[in-house]
Amino acid sequence: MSEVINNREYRQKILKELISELHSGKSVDEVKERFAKLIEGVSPTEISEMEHSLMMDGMPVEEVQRLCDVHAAVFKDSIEEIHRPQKPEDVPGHPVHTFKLENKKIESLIDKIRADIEKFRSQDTHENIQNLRNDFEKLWEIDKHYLRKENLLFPFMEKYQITAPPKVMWGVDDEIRDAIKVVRAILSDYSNVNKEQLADKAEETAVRVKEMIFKEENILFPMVMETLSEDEWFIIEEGSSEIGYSLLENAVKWKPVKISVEKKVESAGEEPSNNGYIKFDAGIMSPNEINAILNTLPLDMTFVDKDGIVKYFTQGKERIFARTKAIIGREVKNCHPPASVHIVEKIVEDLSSGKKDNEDFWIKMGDKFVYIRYFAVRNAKGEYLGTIEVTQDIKPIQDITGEKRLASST
Amino acid sequence: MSKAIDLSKSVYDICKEYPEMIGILKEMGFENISAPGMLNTAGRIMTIPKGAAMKGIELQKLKEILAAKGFSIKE
Repeated sequence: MSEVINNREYRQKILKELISELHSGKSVDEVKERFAKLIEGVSPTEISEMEHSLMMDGMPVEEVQRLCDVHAAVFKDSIEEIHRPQKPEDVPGHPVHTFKLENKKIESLIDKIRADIEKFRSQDTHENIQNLRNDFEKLWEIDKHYLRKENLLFPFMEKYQITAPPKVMWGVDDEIRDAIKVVRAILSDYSNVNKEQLADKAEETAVRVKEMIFKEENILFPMVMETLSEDEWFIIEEGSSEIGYSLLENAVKWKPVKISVEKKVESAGEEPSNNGYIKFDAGIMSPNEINAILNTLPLDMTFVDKDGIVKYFTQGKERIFARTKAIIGREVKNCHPPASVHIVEKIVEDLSSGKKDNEDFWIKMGDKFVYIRYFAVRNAKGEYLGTIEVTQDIKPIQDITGEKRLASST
Repeated sequence: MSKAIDLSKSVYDICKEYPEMIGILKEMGFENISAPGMLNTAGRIMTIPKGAAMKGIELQKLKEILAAKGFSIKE
């Protein structure tokens, strides 16, 4: 029974048992399977939280550390995720990680280009010209790096009102593209060309590419890392392969922490209702009807369960804040920009602890007046089940005056 | 009294403390600094030494100019 009532406590209990089994001499392999089963669908953060609370309960650190080998056996390479909080951009496949990887490749190409320019300066042999041609053909691959930046990353920056840096950077990207094109054009028809002029132009292009790398790594990436939410990075990552990568065959597929909400519910002992009706406090409805009704409500709703996992959102006609299905199963904190995540966490904390029942915000967004309300969802016994976010454009409602008593004929 | 500039601070912080810095930095080659929103976004990430490295401006020279304008530099 206990596992149904309180999953977290149940897991704690099993963890304790596993630790004492290790203590009494059981091997890692013997407990590995149980541990793997226990943590199925649990995020690394929650595991480290569980361990932390065991220590708070008085379990000696060394005992908890016995679990490390089990982690290692179960997670293999991803052990760092638990004990060493990684910077998101250090995770292979994260768009910024990929951008940086490309920059390394581009930088080593630039080094080669510079050496080849020197060779060419001393003697413009057929071979030296051909080398430069190949170099610049390769360098054109940078186009894909810039395209991803401009078409996938910049729109999100603009969404956060960061407009000047992308505009300036886009302009410079275009200048670099033009410079590469010019060098390639001259090289493709190398006759009666002033050797020194060409070398200077090529050198200048190389310098500009290097400068852009510096700008990306020192301004652009730090800036977007603190602005975009993990969910948005996920969208960028998903759109990346379509454009392609510079000097990389393929990028690693990035998997942000995500939980299967269905498995989570099943592990709590619940079953899908298939097509049977659902009984409510007053009346019944079929799953089909519930789905359609929620989508018809003149507002957007997002439900985050008691563990902070996004479990559901409505699919109304016009959503005020775009949501993609990719966020289902994500921790709510990963769906918000790092700069505002503490606000969200505070709201959820106040609602779940019972300190507050709701929290409201209202903001102007263009010609919309958006009313955002967060409600704690509690069952009849008052137990916290989650938080629901309700968003609605109340401008049309505010505009209502007078009375309307007859249905309009149109 | 000289005005102290902490070079580890962001360009945004420095310009907020001494608004005249915007004009000075622009004069010294940080031409995008006055683009709308730039100071507020990129400026929060940038420091003067980083910007100098980016623009190929010699940091030592920059410090000398700042000193001449009555700023004392804190590294």
